[in-house]
Amino acid sequence: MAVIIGSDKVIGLTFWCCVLLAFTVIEVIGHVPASRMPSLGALVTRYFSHPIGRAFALVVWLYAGYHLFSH
Amino acid sequence: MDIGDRDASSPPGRTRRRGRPLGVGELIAVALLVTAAVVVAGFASGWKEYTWGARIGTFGSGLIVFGLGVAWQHRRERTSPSVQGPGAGPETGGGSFDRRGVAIWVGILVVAAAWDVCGLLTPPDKNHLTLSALELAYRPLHSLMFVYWLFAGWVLASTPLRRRRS
Repeated sequence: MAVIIGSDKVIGLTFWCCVLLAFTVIEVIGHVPASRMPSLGALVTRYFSHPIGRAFALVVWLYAGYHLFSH
Repeated sequence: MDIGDRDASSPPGRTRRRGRPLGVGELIAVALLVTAAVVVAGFASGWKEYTWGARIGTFGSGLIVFGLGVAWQHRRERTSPSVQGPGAGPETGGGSFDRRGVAIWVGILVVAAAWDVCGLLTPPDKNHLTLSALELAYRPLHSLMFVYWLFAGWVLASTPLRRRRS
């Protein structure tokens, strides 16, 4: 896919940077002792602590890596 | 037996289980790992797509992070036996898991997924390019995404699995 780099991609780039920033912020808040916001580790502990669920999450993680970085 | 610490800032009746604090050596190890991840992510931004170098580099990095995460989890369990048990861990909220926090996580994921689907379903549009297309175009975003991906792998590997009660 040919991608033309230019300033007209700013909106899309800004959106994804905001998404990454949001994840970073809530992850940091999740590590604050007084906060009730769950961190990513807490979510994994709560919802992916079963071996099958964890294996599914790992497969999704591997596919994301293949799709984004080597494909 | 109370296996967790009561957080002084928590409301009465709610406990937040914690693992033991990281030692100096562990903090140094974490700092080195983060630095290595950032350096590797910088190299990853230069990998050409559809090449074996990119595949080997990506999955090799993921495998290393996964192995280190599993080793870290086993080490923490050996040195902190009081936090073993279903759902136990340094970051679990115990019985007071905040569903609003979960809703925020899910909400951001849903919004991001919807935006990406717009990029898939519409002709290539400057505002709705998919994440993969944008990160191929902007190498710093590629590096940043790589670091996030490695972090997600670390969390998946280092979080203990549920144990059956005997």
